[in-house]
Amino acid sequence: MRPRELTAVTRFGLGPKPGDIAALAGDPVGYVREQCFRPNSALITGPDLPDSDTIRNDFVRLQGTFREARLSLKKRGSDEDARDDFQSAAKERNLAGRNIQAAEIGARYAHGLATDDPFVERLVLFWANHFAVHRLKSPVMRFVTGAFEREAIRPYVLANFSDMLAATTTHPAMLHYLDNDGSVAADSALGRRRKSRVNENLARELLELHTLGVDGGYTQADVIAVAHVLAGWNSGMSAKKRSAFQKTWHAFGPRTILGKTYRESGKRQIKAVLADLAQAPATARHISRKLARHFVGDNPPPALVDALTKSYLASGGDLREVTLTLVESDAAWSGDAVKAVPPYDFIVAAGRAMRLNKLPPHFVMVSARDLAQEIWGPPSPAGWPDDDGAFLGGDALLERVDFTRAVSQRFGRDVDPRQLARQLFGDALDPFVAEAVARAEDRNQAMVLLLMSPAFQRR
Amino acid sequence: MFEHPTRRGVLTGALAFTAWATIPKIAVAAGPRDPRLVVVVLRGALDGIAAVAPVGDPHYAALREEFAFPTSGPDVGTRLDDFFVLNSRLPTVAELYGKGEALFVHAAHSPYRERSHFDGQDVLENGTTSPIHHRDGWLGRAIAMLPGDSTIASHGAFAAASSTPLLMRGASNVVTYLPAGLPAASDDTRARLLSMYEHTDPVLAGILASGLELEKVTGSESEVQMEVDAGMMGMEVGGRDRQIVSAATAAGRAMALDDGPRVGFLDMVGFDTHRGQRVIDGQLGNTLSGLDTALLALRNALGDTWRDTVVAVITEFGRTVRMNGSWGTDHGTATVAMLLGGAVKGGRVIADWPGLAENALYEGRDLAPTTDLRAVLKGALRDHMGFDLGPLGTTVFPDTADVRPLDGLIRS
Repeated sequence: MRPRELTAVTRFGLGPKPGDIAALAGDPVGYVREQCFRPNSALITGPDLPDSDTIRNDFVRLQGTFREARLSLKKRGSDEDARDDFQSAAKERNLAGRNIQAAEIGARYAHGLATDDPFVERLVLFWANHFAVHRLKSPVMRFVTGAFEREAIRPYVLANFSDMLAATTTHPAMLHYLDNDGSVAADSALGRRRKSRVNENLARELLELHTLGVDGGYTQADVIAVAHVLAGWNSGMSAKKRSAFQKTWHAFGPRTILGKTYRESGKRQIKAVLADLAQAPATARHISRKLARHFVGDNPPPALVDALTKSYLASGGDLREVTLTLVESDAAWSGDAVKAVPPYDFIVAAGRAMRLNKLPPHFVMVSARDLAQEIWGPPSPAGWPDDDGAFLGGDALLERVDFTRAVSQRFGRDVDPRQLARQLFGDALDPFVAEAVARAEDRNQAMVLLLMSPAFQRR
Repeated sequence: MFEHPTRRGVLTGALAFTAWATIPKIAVAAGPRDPRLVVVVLRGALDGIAAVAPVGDPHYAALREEFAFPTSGPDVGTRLDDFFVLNSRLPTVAELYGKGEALFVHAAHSPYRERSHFDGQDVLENGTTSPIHHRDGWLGRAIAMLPGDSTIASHGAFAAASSTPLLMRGASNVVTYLPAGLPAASDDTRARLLSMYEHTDPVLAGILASGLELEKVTGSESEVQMEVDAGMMGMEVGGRDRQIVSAATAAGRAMALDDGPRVGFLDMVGFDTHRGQRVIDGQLGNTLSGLDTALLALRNALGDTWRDTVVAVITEFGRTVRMNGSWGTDHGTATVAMLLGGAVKGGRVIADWPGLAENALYEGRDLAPTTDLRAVLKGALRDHMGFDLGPLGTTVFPDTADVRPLDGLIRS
């Protein structure tokens, strides 16, 4: 039987820091449970992490200059000055985007290393994957993806789901990522002047991925109605200042969704629709299933999924209640460690084990990419796969070996691996791992073996 | 510190994990051909009428407006026949078509009729009519049904993915490969790790062993990278295409060997063109260009084996026939599929063309489905890989006895 202390720091954590397992001995469930009452530990702030309004203003300025320079270059093609202006405008914009990404990735990773509430950070990673966006889709996304997680995910992981849903759906990052920028209803003021059509992408993913689930009982007509509710909402990330809700892109009027007619107007309409979607039983079920699958395994006990669903509906979508139901369920603590630790979590766990307090953002970014999990770069709006064996193919495992070698060689020189193994796992240290570490030919190899040991790979 | 002798030799002897490492090299199977099959899944739903444009359809130009295919100028595509034109971002495919080594099936469709990518891809890969089935895929079941000592089953399957894709689940011997860029740990470290896993976690031991065996077949990452660079002959391979091109090169290298895998899998994202799809210079054109480069790399790496190869390029569904307000297209129904390779009887577009008139569209918005993709795949599996038709209609594609395979896709 797997010691619960080990389960607490792996299945419900981001891997042990030295001493963690000894400290929580006796009450591993309580250790995880108590974290649910410290929602603020999900928050990240910092002087180099501006809010999305500031980012938008900066972007509008940079993009405006860029657009102007491009226009004048087009007009005066062979002009040296025009070319220089264009190149420096492009450089300035792209550099700003790169700097924001480096700051965001660095801060997120450092927070993962430092936090004493790693379960809360796991909830952040889970919800960020539920509301997946892609950092590399466009220049805009390079600017706002980090802010999206800080503003629309982190404040709500232990709050009500409806608040997270409202925050994510209307955030510049989501509106841009799922193509709601430029979604203009045919029957809007602008649409009547020039040929337009709504873009269905955000509406569809809102229903299919974020709320009801693919089997949630909605139709193509519902998708189109939701797309009309959303039309006009935009990121404002363009060359000109623009309000977050463009009235002239929106066709005002009642919309019928899942049999209910919404007679509210504009901003009140989207609020009402999102509130109802958040409370729908199909949403409760969809989210409960995903949560159980994420923490327990591909085939979670149906009773656990039922309990989570019940808790969701009884509390009106209170994610702390749902999370507590998960943590306090025996089923969530039993069973083997079947789920592969995803690459980003693994990179965090390696740093925690080595007592690092930061790594160069570029190293973190490239390492995650090499291990096949680009940070904020999932393969689709459905996020990263979450099945038990995801990310763990033969070649992927060899990449992990190469990563552990690089990280311990470059950043872990002062560590004694034998002592560290004992501090990390205490009595839960597998004797074969202890032996392999002790017999390694050098420190670096010992660290590779320790960080590659099963407790770091599956949870 | 002193140098250790390489342990590669030791590993080779000790880790008889994948079959092709242990089976003595024997002459290829009797018969004129030792077939190779590569399945390329395009994720996100390829817009079939932008890749292979039905310029002969009287409604096409009006539906696509300024994004109809140009009929003159530098971007004019390749005329496939008097009805269809191939997108000019697919020059390798065009060259293959000219040699009779590329064939298109238009208005092709899977049995899936909703519009979710994820369910659509599951149906495309699992070979059933329902997305619920995740246990195994049609190619995995096909391989599993062969006797263990047959050429195809004993040589295993190759997947460029971080874990076994649904398409190949069910086959017992799938190795996965994903190119990346960190310097490799020593063979000694790897051997010790393997030994540790054997004592602590047999699942991880099996995964690691398969990775080590695979590397022997494909060569190390730097070798693959050199081949990519050489194979491209100075052609610029953009950053976002590097992974698919490396994967295609590795697949080709492995599958070209006498004792290499006979069946391969690649996939590629970027086809969900809701915005800025355009036709040649937008997201779709760029993604098609990456696909084309990867196909060129695959062909080059396969070398002479190309003549015994069929590459099936498939996608979960198509896109709306009209452009949306963002110069893109939304989720649709029928699309185009491609068969490429020296074994393909190509130079043709096969289409039971439904037409683009308003009343011919599926639900008033999509290209109507007319040719079942499973008929195409059955035809290739039967005539190229030598599968019997009976089990193709039950085990591989359940309940499809009435879906007749397309005849004559493969050179005899």
